[in-house]
Amino acid sequence: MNCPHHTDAGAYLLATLPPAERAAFQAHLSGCVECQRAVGELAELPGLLSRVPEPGPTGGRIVEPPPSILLGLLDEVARRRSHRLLLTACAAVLAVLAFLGVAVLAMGDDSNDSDAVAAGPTRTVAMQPVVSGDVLRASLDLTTRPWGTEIRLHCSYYGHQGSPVYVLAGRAGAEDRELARWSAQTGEEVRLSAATDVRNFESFEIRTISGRVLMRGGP
Amino acid sequence: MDLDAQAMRVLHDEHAPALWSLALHLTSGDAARAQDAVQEVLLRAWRHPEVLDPSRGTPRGWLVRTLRNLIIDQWRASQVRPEVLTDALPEIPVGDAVDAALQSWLVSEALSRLSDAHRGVIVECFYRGHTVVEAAARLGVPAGTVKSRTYYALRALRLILEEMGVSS
Repeated sequence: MNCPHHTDAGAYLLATLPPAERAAFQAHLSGCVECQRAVGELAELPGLLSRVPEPGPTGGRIVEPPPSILLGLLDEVARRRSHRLLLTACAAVLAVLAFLGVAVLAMGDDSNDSDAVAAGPTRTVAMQPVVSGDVLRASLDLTTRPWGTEIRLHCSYYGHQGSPVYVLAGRAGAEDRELARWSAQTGEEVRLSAATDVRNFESFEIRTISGRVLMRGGP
Repeated sequence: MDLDAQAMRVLHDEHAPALWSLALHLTSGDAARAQDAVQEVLLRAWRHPEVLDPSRGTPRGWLVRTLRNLIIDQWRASQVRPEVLTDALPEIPVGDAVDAALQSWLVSEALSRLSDAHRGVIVECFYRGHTVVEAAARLGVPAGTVKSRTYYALRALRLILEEMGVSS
């Protein structure tokens, strides 16, 4: 602001200028865009001020909230978080079920109820990290069944952002087969089951959805 | 390390004192209703952090508007009884009463955030009705200082009110 009179706008609006000064400012105002703007910007304030009584020397109208507010909120956060983990786990189970659906269809009707009878021994495969950095730990339990292989995956996650999607793949001869696909959150543990008609795997890999190999292991 | 809880703690520490004070004022001191409303507002902000994005206006503005709406909704819900389920809900008076209470609380809060010098000149010139010359004598500063200080005090007040979500 260049006009030296614009700082009179406050006293003018609060009607505290002496009569002669008030008349002079008013006359000046009609021809000064700057002062008109200064008055316009503050014009609403006297009306707002008149809504409240005279304030004391200090404010002090802020009251400390009771601790129960924060405690209630943190409970709610924890409740929603566990709800979200449950949803993630459900999503993983659904992914496996979708896969199993395909596997069962491929099997046909003749081997539906024979698996419990002829289960072979279970072997555990410890997956080894391929990339540096402790992103996840995983192990597989493989059980040979008449119809193929039952796979149980146990996986823990560390230090990644968001909820990446992982893929478990198995290699048998020339064939590279996706066995399960799931998403996970940091700090979470996932157990999931998969099934396939292949029996003789040479190796397993856990990959990101874009195909980067994170862990590898073989029977 | 729980980032969710941490985010909620930060939100609470920054906004709960003002929201709680305002909620008590708007509910005429009903602590149970005030607590429900404050928790709901902070929970919504936690679930949708984008509402507090500065590019969408002042964060406090969104929180205050949401609190106001929740308290009005609470009040309306408490008024709905089967025997009076007609078109006679006192919609406008409730909203007006809450808005009047809201505005006076915000103005008081804004005044309390002014510097002592700025608040002093508004008290002398507006609330006590002194002229510039009288105020200058009472405050022990030249009349020219009272005039310019009044101007800057009102500008500061306007900024604070804007930051609190009062459009002007």
